[in-house]
Amino acid sequence: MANRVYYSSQGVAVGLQTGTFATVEGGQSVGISANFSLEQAFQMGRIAIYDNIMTDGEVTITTSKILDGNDTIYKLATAAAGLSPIVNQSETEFKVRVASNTNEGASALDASAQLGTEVTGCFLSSVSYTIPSDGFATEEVSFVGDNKAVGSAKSVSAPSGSTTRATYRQMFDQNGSDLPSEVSGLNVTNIAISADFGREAMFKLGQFRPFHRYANFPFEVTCEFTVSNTSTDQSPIDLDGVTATSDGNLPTKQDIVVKLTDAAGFAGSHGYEFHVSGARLNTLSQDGGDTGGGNATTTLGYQTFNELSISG
Amino acid sequence: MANNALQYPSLSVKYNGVSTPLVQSVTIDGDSGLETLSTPSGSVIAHGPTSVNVSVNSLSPSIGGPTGTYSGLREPVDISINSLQVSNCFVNSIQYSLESDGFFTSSFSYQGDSVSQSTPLMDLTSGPSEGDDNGDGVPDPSFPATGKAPYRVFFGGGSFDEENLKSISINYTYDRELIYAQGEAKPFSVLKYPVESTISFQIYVSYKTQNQPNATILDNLYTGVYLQQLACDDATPVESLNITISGPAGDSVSFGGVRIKDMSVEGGSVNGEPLEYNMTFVHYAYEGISPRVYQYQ
Repeated sequence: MANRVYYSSQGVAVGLQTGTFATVEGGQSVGISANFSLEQAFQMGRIAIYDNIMTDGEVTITTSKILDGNDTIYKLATAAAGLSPIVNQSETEFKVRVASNTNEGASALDASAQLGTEVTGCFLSSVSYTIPSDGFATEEVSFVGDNKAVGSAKSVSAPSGSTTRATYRQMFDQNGSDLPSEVSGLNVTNIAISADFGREAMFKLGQFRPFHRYANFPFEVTCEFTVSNTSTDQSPIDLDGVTATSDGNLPTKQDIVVKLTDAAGFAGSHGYEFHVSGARLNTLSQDGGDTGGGNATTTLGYQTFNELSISG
Repeated sequence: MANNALQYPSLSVKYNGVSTPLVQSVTIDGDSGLETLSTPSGSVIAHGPTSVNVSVNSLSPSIGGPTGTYSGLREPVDISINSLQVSNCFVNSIQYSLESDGFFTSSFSYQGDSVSQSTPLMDLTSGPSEGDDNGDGVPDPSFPATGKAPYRVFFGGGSFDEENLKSISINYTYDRELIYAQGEAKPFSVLKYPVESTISFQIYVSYKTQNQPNATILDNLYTGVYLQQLACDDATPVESLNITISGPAGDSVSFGGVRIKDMSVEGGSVNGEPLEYNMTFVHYAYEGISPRVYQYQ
């Protein structure tokens, strides 16, 4: 029996509830949490608690990977081809497995000797992508579900030992992307894209388990750019310029495209695209450049709702 | 003298001296019925008929009545909170609420004619009691052992068990008329007919396969047909429907000969909340006490 679980001895597989499991390539981390909501009943005439019942239980699995030229966790789970709007997954059910070897000395996952955890009937809870200039581009996806089964049958196949190439800053396709006008031409050091479905449980009389976890429309999609300043903030704001027929010089609504190219020459490696539509600048903050010696940076945050599409 | 606060562990509710458990709250609202009369020699203030309204809210392990003695419908009952007593109480209304996200509750409203207090509500030298409402150190045997508070999984189903039921609300209204006689300060009350009872459903609207057996009103919302009978018998006319609700303790309530009273569809707005369908059915009884309310054993 293994004395510990570490990166080499555990793995994650995802898939459609009605489909097959696919192992996440380039996985970096996985977390499993179970939360139970409790409600207490008391009564007049007694100080002792009458009952302390569980009103709901949910299991959340959060897993991350580097964007390594292989399919994203989102694509592995949804099997969606091409550019896929995430709203299409608001009703889709998935299954997720996390398993670890019982033999700690194995060099890779061994599906014949594992103990695993499987959550079925779960829903996509949140997705986020981070594209830094100093580090790998990463993806983090969370699923939320009700029932969790365990055992040796809940195994995960070993990842392939990829021939692809991890996405790094040079793979950001500046020309192929469509950045907001406030960002265009600047030295972008970090891009962060995220969406959270805000799932809420729906209960019915006669059944303990929620019969559905609906996406709380409209849900927020954010796209944040961090740029290295070459000057102080040059974004004018003139509220007096806003009229009935014109927004003046206030930031406009824009469609944002972030494109990452594939790693040419690395077999099987593909690129990624993220489309955020109808976004508008809602935060802008300049920081740094202080006597500590660091450089000034500006973070521009864009907000839209429901409109995020993912390819790759 | 200690300034103790009187809190729920030290308060017990009794019907004709019998304790009732699972009470969550009680409210008492009295009106002394003052009447004023101005005369040339001065004002006269007299006490007219008093009315005391009592509302007892409890967790409800069944939908047939409170645990213990069910009183106040045909014969008056005295309701006491410790030594505070409201006399000659008749039931005004009964409501059961079965929520999918919350405890099952009942609310009984009474109208009595007087309130009295024999001793202080609580002996200020003692602390909270463990169900010992008369202060003799012995827990009241009518208090139940710790059990399970009724929750959505306790619902047994019924006519709507295929739907995604969000909540059910059952209401009985017993209007009474006070009749006064010369020589008597206190009136006597008679039940006014018809007695109205309603049962309301809140349902989450979801995609349904049409033309199912026992199709519900909800299905026909989509097909444009306003009403569809709910009972298993196709011969039952839509004006007289039968609904059965199976409660938490294996008990059940049958509503025979009900009619749809009102319906509404709410939600589904851009705020993101789900679409919900509300239906209320009504029954009028012109004799007896109907529909029957089962006594919880």
